[in-house]
Amino acid sequence: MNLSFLPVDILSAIAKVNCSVLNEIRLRKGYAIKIILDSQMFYLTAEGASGNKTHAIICTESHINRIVDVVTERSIYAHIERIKKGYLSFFGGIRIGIGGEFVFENGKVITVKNITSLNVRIPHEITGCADDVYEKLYKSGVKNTLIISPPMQGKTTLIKEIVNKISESNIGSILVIDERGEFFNVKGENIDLISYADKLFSFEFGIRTLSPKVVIADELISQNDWKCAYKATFSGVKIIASCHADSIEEVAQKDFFINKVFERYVVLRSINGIASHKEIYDKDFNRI
Amino acid sequence: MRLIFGLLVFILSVCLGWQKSMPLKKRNEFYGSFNNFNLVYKNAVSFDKKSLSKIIEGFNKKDDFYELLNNYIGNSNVDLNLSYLTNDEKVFVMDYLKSIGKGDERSQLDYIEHVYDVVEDKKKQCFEDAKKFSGMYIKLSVLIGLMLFIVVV
Repeated sequence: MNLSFLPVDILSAIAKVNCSVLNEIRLRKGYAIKIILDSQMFYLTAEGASGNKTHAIICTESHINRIVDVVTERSIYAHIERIKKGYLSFFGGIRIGIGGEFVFENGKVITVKNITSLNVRIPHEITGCADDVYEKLYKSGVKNTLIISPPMQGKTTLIKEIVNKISESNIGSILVIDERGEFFNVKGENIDLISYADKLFSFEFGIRTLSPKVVIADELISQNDWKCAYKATFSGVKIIASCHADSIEEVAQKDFFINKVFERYVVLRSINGIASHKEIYDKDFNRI
Repeated sequence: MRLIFGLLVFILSVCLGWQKSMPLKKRNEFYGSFNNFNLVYKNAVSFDKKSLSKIIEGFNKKDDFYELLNNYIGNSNVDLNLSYLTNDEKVFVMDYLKSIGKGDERSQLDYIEHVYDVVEDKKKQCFEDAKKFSGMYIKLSVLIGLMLFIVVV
């Protein structure tokens, strides 16, 4: 895992932590740095993780500036489209959420200044975590599927594994819509990747020009995302997407929820950030 | 013996003249590269959105200005001890280094637009100075060297 963007003191403290279970590093200017290990919060001290705040490393402005400088290669203009969406991305699918002063013009974000907090999210590959879902849902043909869970429960990890498994089965081209650069390591002879483009563009042009059999889209957030997915189901492609929610009922209550777009719903319950328990529902919300 | 001593005096004189002309040449080279970089940077920000490190990689001049940029990108702290720059110029260059790459496309283009004219004027001035004085120092040192050589021999 490449965490070379971290300042030296944080990096040497992280080196003393079990990085295989490191999910997040949370930096807030003027406050103790926190890390999430195995879905549990700890303070980061020079000696590694600690439940005690006393010796925690305090996040300074120079910590934040250093991270932003390295991740953007000191070239904010080259990363501004992602910054406007509130995040930065680094090699290895690492996504860094940004908090600070968002500057608006004509109702649109034009830049972010005075960055005060960063949330470094570290992805993990868990081979085999999609085996059961694949067996139940895709072995006899891909079904439009929505994967549901709260943040940090392993949706993206599961989707990556599903992509790899479907790709290996040679059913045709798979289009992966990777809005935030989290699918960098998803590669294969059947996989086409559209990175850093929004879903509206990716769905429209990807389906038209790359002729996929299956479209993978992480995190349907806005009404437009749902509309794109809905339209795509009428284009002869199958869709596998994810959505933030605690339960299937919560998804159904969303204003922009469109019923019958998805044939299957997979609700994740995770233990230690690994999607270990999966409930599968049909299009009428009956548990299978 | 006198011949050897006379030659040494001549060489010393030429070296002094050359040394005197060097800062002018260096200044000319520095501001030439500075100006050139501004153009390259402006294009990168406007069109291909290359990062600063990529722009510097492709920069075809490896001189003081390039070293300065490269060091600054590498570790953000540079000791600007270029003796041929005045203190005001050093402050200006440090401000420049701290500002490039630090904003969105529009703010960067506005900044470069503002800086470009200042650097362009400096470049022209340095070019004139180098052309006028640098050659003069060398010619003068050769002349003085020859005179001393004759006196000594």
